[in-house]
Amino acid sequence: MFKETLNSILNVEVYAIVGFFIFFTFFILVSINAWRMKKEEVDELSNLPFEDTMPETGKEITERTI
Amino acid sequence: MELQKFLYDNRIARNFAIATIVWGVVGLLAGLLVALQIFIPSMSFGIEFTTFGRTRPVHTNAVIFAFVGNAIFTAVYYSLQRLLKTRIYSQALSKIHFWGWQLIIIVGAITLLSGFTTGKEYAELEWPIDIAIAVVWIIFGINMFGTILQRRTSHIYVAIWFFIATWVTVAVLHIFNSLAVPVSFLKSYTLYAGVQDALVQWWYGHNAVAFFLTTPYLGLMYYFVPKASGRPIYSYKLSIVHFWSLIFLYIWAGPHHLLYSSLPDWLQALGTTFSVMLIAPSWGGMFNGLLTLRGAWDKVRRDPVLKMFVVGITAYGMSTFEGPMLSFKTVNAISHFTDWTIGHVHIGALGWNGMLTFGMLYWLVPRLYNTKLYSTKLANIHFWIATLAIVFYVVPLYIGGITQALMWKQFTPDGFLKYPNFLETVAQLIPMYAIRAFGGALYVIGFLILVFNLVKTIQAGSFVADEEAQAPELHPEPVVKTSSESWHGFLERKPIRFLIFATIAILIGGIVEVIPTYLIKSNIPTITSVKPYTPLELQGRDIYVKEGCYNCHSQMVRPFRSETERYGEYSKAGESVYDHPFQFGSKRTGPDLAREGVKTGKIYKPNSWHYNHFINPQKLNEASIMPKYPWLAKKEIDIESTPAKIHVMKILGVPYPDNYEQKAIKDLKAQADSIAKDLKANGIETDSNREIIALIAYIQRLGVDISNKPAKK
Repeated sequence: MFKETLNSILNVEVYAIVGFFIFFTFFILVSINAWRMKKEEVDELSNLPFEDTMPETGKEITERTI
Repeated sequence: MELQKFLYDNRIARNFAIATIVWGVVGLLAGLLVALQIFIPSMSFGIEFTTFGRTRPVHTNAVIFAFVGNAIFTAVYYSLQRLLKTRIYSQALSKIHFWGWQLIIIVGAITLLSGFTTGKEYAELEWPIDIAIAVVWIIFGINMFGTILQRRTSHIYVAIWFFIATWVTVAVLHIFNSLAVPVSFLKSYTLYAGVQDALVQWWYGHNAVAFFLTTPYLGLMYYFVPKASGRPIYSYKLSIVHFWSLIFLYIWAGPHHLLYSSLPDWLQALGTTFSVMLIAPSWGGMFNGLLTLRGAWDKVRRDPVLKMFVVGITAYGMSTFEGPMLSFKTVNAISHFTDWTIGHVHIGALGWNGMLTFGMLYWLVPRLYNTKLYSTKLANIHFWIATLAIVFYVVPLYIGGITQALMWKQFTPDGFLKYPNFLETVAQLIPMYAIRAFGGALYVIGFLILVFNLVKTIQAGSFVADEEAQAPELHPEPVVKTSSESWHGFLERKPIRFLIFATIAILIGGIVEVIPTYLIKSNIPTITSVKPYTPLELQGRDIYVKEGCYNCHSQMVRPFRSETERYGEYSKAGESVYDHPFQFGSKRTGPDLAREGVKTGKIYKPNSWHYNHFINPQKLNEASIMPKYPWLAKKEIDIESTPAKIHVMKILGVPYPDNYEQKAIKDLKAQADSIAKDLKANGIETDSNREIIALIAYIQRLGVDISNKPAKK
């Protein structure tokens, strides 16, 4: 089915391949960079939403009663 | 390290949250109304302002830009301050943003119901409102980037990347798709014509889904799911790959809305290819959201907020798997123009957008009012009603869509269409439409429970307008990448550079697809027999657009035997070169009209039939679900606007003769008189200056040019 579908598309060999090439170059570069990130850096960035919470008590710094 | 004290501004998040609730009621009720109107034509009440063609755009715009739009701004204004440890940049800009957006929604609804529309789906609002949207969007951007630049944190968190990508892409899409030449204060013609307009429109339309209904909600997910579950996001690394892949790929996928149309094949191929590739980043996001809850499933069982997030993210996964499948030409051949697409869209809208919004509101409102949720039990009831509602809404549309498509394509052993009468296929859908409306009603009931629950919560609490917070001051940071940080970590410290990279990523796809369609002439082969519309036909076309006929009728015969047997010759790109805007449509609640005017064609009807059909469709066929249009026989054509319309068309490149503006009204009247005379000969007395005459003229023109044989040399 895929072969027939692709064969029936004019110029697919040019445009789709160029598109694939651009994307995969971009994708591989981003993936390599993400892969090489250090654990400490990743942990710090992952916890950004929690930085308005005091780690020792779990109570938020802001004055909330709930 | 010395902590600085400051205040979060909760007013703007509260205002947008309340607007989300109010417009949610309006948008959902409008949805329920159109769900009933589609199979009970009398629900249009015979009034122009409440007829399906006008109410359907009100529903889509209200849900997308009012309900979801306000929810986006709620999430942005609440999370941005906390993620950046700073107060919002400008309270004045926040107010202008809030009231400007609400005014746009109100004016948009009034103009759409009054018939002022561009005729481009999800971009129906006319040019003055488009300008207002652009201005308010820029104000939002200034407020957002102002806040980012005054932050006390070093890095910008993943949620904010999605907000940045949303802002820049929506700005680009809105501005380019809305380019038009005004005819009057509330009438304009789009800059693009035919296939080119279709490409730009679906580049916009698809990416409105991507960058208004998806990316900001991913930002919402990346903030509120960790906050509600108390667990950091599953994989920050995955979020990086997910973000860049998603925004890069999404922008290419628009042409999958035009498969088997007269759009050049290479564009259709790109649309399909990139749509299939989109599964990877979309599911990366889904897994990242769901796996954040690993180890917290006991909490999910108890907490309605997390339950809603889980169903919402699961719906996102289902919808983003189904979308690429529908982009395969073989599947699209069945699904396109049917209710299957409507079902697909509503998995995303009701599941992903709806459930995430509900979860956010249940989590946020008690915090804004420094109290507890009034009733967790009611929130749980809402969760189950909404989940069941989605099933009742979507399943019948899948069944109905596939049933109708197969009936359209069914041939007898002798090679004739088995269901040549389109209405036979519509009749099969009525029970499905009824169940869908029941699902929609359930969803509305669930939402009203939310309203009650949150109103009681607000009454029990006390609003915290300025919330105290503290964080250390952000010291000047190294301007270059340090050895201990990754390239992406460095980029996260540089928001303007981040914005530039995101802009490049979203522009590549658009540039590759749109520019060649304009520059390479062979993409749109012209047809010598295709001529500009006569002045009366042009006025009739504007009435067709005004009444929203494109909401139910396509003008695109696909190159299938089942379609050419039913309608006639398949559609070519060169046929629509003078169509500002294109009217290919996206749904066939009624039959395709692209060959309606071909006298020797398969679906031709005389003027008198059209007249009677517009006045009372059920009189001609009891089973018809088309609403009545009696006002067309009463309202007069806006003849005086004709010269201005011809003038604008000439500016847009439509080859009317020199000084034709002066002759246009005379030609219009002559053609109108001839139609009125023909109607009179068939027993129908009407003035020639009525809108119905112009609409008949336009309908009778459809497909005529392509059926004309070229003159012998």
